[in-house]
This record gives sequence, structure tokens and C-alpha cells, in this order.
Amino acid sequence: MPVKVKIAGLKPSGFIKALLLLLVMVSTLVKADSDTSAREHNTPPRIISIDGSLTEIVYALDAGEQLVAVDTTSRYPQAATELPDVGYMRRLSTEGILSLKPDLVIASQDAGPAEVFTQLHQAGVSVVRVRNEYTLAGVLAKVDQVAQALNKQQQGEQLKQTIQQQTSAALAAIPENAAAPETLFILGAGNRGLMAAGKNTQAQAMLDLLAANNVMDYDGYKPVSAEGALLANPHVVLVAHTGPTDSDAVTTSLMMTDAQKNNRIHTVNTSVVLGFGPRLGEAVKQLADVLYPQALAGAE
Amino acid sequence: MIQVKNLSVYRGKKAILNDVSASLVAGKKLAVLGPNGAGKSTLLKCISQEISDYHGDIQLENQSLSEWPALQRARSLAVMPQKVELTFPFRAHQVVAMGRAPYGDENQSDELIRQAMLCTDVWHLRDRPYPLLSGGEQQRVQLARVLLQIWQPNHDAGRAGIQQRYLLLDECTSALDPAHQHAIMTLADQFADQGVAVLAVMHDVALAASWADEILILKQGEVLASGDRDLLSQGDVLQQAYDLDMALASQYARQNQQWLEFR
Amino acid sequence: MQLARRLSVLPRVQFSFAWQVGLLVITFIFLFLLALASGPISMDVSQVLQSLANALVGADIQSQADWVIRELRLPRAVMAMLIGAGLAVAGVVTQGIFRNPLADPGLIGVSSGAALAAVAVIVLSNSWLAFWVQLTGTFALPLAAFLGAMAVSLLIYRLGTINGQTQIAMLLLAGVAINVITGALTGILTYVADDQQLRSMTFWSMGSLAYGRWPEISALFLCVLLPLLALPKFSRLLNALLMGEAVASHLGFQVQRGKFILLAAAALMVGAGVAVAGMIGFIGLVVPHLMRLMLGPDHRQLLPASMVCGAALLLLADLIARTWLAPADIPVGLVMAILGGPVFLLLLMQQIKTVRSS
Repeated sequence: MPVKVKIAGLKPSGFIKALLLLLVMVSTLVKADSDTSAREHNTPPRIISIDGSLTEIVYALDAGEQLVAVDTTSRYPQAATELPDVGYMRRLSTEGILSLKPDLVIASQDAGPAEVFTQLHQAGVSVVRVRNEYTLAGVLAKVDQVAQALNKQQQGEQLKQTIQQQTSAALAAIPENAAAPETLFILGAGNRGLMAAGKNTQAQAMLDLLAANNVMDYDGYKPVSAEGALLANPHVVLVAHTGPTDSDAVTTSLMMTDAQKNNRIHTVNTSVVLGFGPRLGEAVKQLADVLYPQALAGAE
Repeated sequence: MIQVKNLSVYRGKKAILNDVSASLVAGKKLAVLGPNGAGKSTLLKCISQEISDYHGDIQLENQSLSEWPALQRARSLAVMPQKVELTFPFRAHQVVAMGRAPYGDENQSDELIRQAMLCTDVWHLRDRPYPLLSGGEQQRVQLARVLLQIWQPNHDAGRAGIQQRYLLLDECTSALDPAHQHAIMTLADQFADQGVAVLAVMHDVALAASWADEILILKQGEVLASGDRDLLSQGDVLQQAYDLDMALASQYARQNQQWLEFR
Repeated sequence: MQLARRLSVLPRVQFSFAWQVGLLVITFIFLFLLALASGPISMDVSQVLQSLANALVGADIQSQADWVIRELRLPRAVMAMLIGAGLAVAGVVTQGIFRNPLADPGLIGVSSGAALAAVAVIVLSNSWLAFWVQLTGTFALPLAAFLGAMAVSLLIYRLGTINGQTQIAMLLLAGVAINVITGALTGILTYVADDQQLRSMTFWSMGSLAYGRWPEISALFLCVLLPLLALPKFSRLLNALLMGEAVASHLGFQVQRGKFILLAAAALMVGAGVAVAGMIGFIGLVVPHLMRLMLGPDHRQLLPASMVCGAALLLLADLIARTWLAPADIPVGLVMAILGGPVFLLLLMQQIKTVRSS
């Protein structure tokens, strides 16, 4: 009855055959090689960038061609998405990174686990960890650090100036005595539903920059319910998406709030608005336009 | 000898067994009879130590039964339970081989295994998976296993060990046809002839009449009658035991008398 | 003629057993070397053997390749072997005690206890459990997971043991109840977690062999190797237990003591494995099944074979985890599920076929 009866007759059972087949398949897999291009002396350093904003800065500093790989959060510019992906930034793989033969790894302070960076260091790779501070000064500091690491201090200064100017200009457009709008920031997280941003989030940092009031004052992101939104009664709602979201669901959750009644529910670009990278100026302008519409109206 | 003294077993407030006394003597065959719920299996389970929270005392060769180490007991006392559930596809001979577990010599007992399986007529089934055997075949395989535990006198017992062998059978012929039933009981006879004390819980009064030396009849947890096998040819005893009407009881008594004479 | 019939009883089983275990061991050694030789960085076999030799004599690191093999791949391979073997044998033991080929070590609460503790550390490390993180540093998570696994298993064991007798039915029910409670607590922690913590939890629950450090591997040796070496002695008890505890005690086995030791061993092996590598499922279910189909239910063959097969399987899964999407590293628990699901289905269909044809 059981399969094993055949085995005594020296005929391999189906299972052993399957196992051998699987082994053969796997051995061929192993032959697959990663990039083995030889490194010559005067070629510019090979860089791996881990964090979306850092990747953007690398491209902005005109060093995009030196990038050999990025992480999953690096989705801008388009060219970055075509590079090999070293995985989720908090679960990196030492060997994976080493296989790309980088000379320099630029990573956010939040990247991990810590052992990976220790091991990379042991293996002779330069590692630069960049702090993530969600303010204008923080962004400028990031640019400084990256420019330093890439030895492109001049371009770095220029980039800083550009960012500074764009941001200041956008902020200046906000009228002096405008009231701080009661704002709700929603992240449409695909099938995890709608999450509203509270304190200690990047969304909060942006709102702080624009002197807007966050109607939610808990920590982090929490699911938002229609009743909760009604209680908070925001005047403006900013909606960012990290996955496909049903726009009806958004409207339903915000039914009867001031924002919904006055048609002040605005979709914003997640990558720009929460990036805290070189496009900060653009982000501030986008938000300023919707938070302070009187500025637009009053503009020439 | 095993002596059961004033054994009582309570489940909640109910007494499953109440003040039961009996003894199991070497070479003698004791049949325990009674209607359903009389406590027959409970008695057997107390002696096999499957039930250990009883009141009263059970002495095995002048020492309390529970004080004997389990391994020593296993080499002298073999128990055939009413039902054994085994769904894993062991071969029949592997199941029988487990009977040598108390001695640790399963791999060196090929000859004993063969003899035991021949005795219970399951040798031809030795390579069949146990779960696929019929109820009767499974019972006979279990019996072979159980007998292997006490197949030979335990020479390693020493003076401090258990001297006799004991065999407890709990309705071990319930799924068997008459031919096999009698074959098994003859096998038990052979063991008794060697000095093994045999206790068999039975349902079939006629079978008891054809086999037992002594009878113990339980009813509702108490001893109704105990004594020689002639007890079974007494109509009033049967009538009381099984709540039969007198005519039926007399008929059974007469049949049992014939079995007694047949022996 | 009688001699021939007698010979047909046991030697045939022994011959096929030796043949099959021999094949398993060869496969296992092949996989071990393959695991050391494969990865995102290409490596040839001579380098692997050289590095192994270096590692055995304790020589200094000689090159980057040497370093990659000895510091990155070797710990991973060792972890894979230990955890794979431990999970497989724990599966065999659990199935034996519960007399059910569908039983899984999760029934005794090991996985849910570890998960609860791990999630608690992830979510509460800045608040309620800050003291714990201060106390244990980088080992906060694995240590907590291990303690959680042991604590919950002990709780379930105590609930299932009445008057010194462990009753399987009670154990099962206690396991179900406690698993529900730990699940609920884990759910609450999930709810209050922020995005980053949620991601950490998700990855932990998918299992990974990438982050084991040598202290953790030493702990694994202790918690997995020792029970593995001691368990074959309990093969005969496990065989007898399959006929019920009454029969096992009739045969002279110390059943209560045996059950406690077996359950403790299973909890220890799985607890250590989950603590270090996160949740890796299916091995405890699939390997015993596979081995039983190939070798039969006798634990004297089943235990050593499952040990080898479990180790080999996890080595294989980890190899795939490292190379399939290089340079990214897939969590090995995910690979096991992808492999394990279809294999289990195949086993099931095989079972149905054999039942139908008999």
C-alpha cells in the first residue's frame, strides 16, 4: 500500500526522483552571476544608495551614473527604479550588497540591521550614514553630507541654494496673517485602509513647516473612521496614496466635515510631499497652494 | 498471587466498584462476568494500574501493586486491553515486536515473534499494515504482542522480583468467530498450564463455562457471586446476575452444564 | 523454507532504511557544500573547501572570499542545519504524542509565545519594555522570544496536566485556548504599532536566517543539539505511545516522565529556533510526513531520518532565499511556505490515491 514498498526493489521512489530533479534545478540557478565588471583605477566610485531622498540627492548632484543599486524606497527619478534592488532598507543583506562591489554605501540612519553596516565596514566598503531630520535645515544637512561623501561640494552648495530659494519663495507666498488651517493628512495605504497622520510623522513635519494645525494629536498613523473625522472636523484634507485606493472610500470617511462640504479635499503626490529631499521646495508650494488658497487668489 | 482486597473506585459520588475482593492464583483461570456497567473492566484496569486512584488494596506477591517498578511489572504482568487504536501504518509484525519492549530485545526476537504470531494465527498477515486488518485480525495481533511479554518465565527476576506471570484479558475475543475464540482460549489454557495466572473479563457466559476454573460475577460494582465454575450451571445465579426471567436462566444454566461436561 | 520466511520479516526493512538514509546523508553533505558555494557573490568549490579547512584550524581570514564564506555563509548554513533538524524532530515528537500526523509543534504554544514576546519587544521597546532592551542590548528580541516560547509552553503543559497526569485532550484544548489569547494580545500590539514596527513584525514573522550572530548560534547548539542527541533513546516509547498511553505503561514505560521530557525537548528546540530566526513553518509538518511515507512510522528510523531531512530542507530553502532575487534576501520562512504548501498538497494527494487503491 504505501510507496515505500517499492524501495526494497532498488527502484528510487518518486520522492527521491523529485528531490534529485530539484537539486539539479537549483544547481543551475547558482551559476547565475551578478555583475562582474572589473574595476579599473580611475573609474568613479560605485555607489549604493539606501533611502529615497538620498537617492534623489545623488541624482540631483549629477552622480546618478555611479549608482549601481538602490533600495525599495528609491522610486524617483524613473532611472532609479531600473537599478538592482537591495531590498527593504531595514532588512538589508550584507552579501547581497557586497555582490554589487560597491565602493561607497550611502544609507539613512534608519537603515538596518546594524550588523550589516559593521560587516560592510569590515569588508572594506566606505559607509556614510545620514541622519533624517524632517525640517528644511535637515534636508540641507543631508545634501551637505552626501555632497561631502561624493566629493561634489560645489554642486552641493548649488543644490542647497536652489532648495532654500524654492522653499522660501513658496513660504513667502503665504499671507502674513492667514489663520492656520485645521488640517487632516490621510495616507491611503491600499487595502490597509485610510490612515490619518498624527504627531511624530513626516506629514506632521510638513504641516509644521507650513504652519498648519494637525487635527489629530495622537502619535503615528492610525486608521481613520468617519465619526472620528467628523469629530475632528478638519477644514482641509490632504490625501496621499501609497497604493491604489478607492476615492469613494475617502469621500465616505470624510462625509459632513467642513473640508468635504467646502470641497477642500486635495490629493497630493506622496513621493514629493513626504520625501524631504531635493524637491522640498516643490512640496511646500504644492501644499501652500491648497492650504492657503487665498494666497493664490490674492496673487497677481 | 494477586490479591484484591476491598477495592472501591469512585467517580464523583458514584461507586463504580464497591468493596470488591478477589484473588488471582498461579495456574488458575478466573473469568469475570456480569452485565454491562458491572465494573468488570474497571476491576481489570485497577489491577493493570491504568486506574490508580482506587480505595482498598491490591497486593502482588505480598507487596502493594503500585510499589512495583513499572518495568518489572511489565515483564510479569501482561494486559490485553479491550480496544487498541493504532492509525499509523505499522506492519503487524512490528506491532507484535513491541511486546518485547520491557526486555529491550525487539531486534533479537525474530523466532519468538514468529511463534507468537503462529499461535494466534496471524503469521500470514505479518507484512500487512495493521490499520488495514479486520477487527478480529487486529485483536489477534494485539494478543500476540501481549503474550510476548510473558512468553517465557522471567529468569532474571531474582528472589526480590515477581515470581509468577499474570495475564489479564479484557474481552479479547469479542470480535472473533467461534473457531478463533476457542483457539485463543486454548492458548490461554496453555499459558495457565505453565503456571500463569489468567484473568479474563468476558461477556459470553458459554465461553466462560467452557474455559474458566473460577468465576467472579459482578453486578453494579459489587460481587454477586464468586466460586467454582459450577456456579454457571445454577439457574438462580444467572437469573440474579443478568436479570433474566427464570425460564431463560434455566436454559442458559442447562447449556452451561453441557459445556462443563464437554470439557 | 521457514528460515527464508523469517528472513523476509526484518532484513528487507533494514536494507532499504540504510540505503535511504545513506542517500539522505549524501544529499545533505552536497547541499551543505552547495550552500557555502552559492550566493550573490560567485565562488568556486575549491575556495569553499579551503575556507572550511581554514575555519576548522582557526586560521586568520585570508581574503574577502574567505571572509564571505566563513563569516556570512557558514553561520547561516550552521543555523539552517540546526534549526531545520530541530523543527523536523519537534514535529515528529509532537505528532507522536498527539497520535496525530497533522499535529504541529505550534499546538503546544511555542510559536505563539515566541511571537507574542517578539512583537512586544518590537512595539514596546521605547516604552514599557525599555528596561528590557537596556538589560539585554542587541539580544533583546531573541532572548524575549525564547522566554516567551518557554513560558507559554509551560503554561499549556500545566493546564493540561491534572494530578500529575498529562492528558492529551486537555493539552490540546489548553493549547487552543492559550493560542487564542496570545493571538489576541499580539493583535492588540499590532494595532498600536506604527508603520515601521509593523514592517518589522511582518518580516520577523516571515523568518530569516540572515541575522544570526555567533552567540546565538552557540545557544542554538545547546538548545537543539543536546535534545537531538538525547531523543533517539525515546524512539521505543514514541512507538508504544502510538497505541495509547495505557498500552505504553503496560509495556513498562514511564509514560508521564517520558511525555514531559518529549514535550520539553520539542519546546526547547522550536523555541530556540523561532527566537533566533523568526517563524519558519511547514518543516515540522511536512518532513515527518515525508519520512513516514518513505520509511514507515517506526521512530527508530523516523527520528534520525527527519533530523537529516529537516536540516537539508532548510539549507535548500535558505539557498533559494539568498539567490533567487539577489541582491535582495527573501525571508526563508516565505520560501519554506512556497515550497511546503505544494509539497504538502502532493503528499495529501498521494495519501488519497493510496487509500482509494487499497
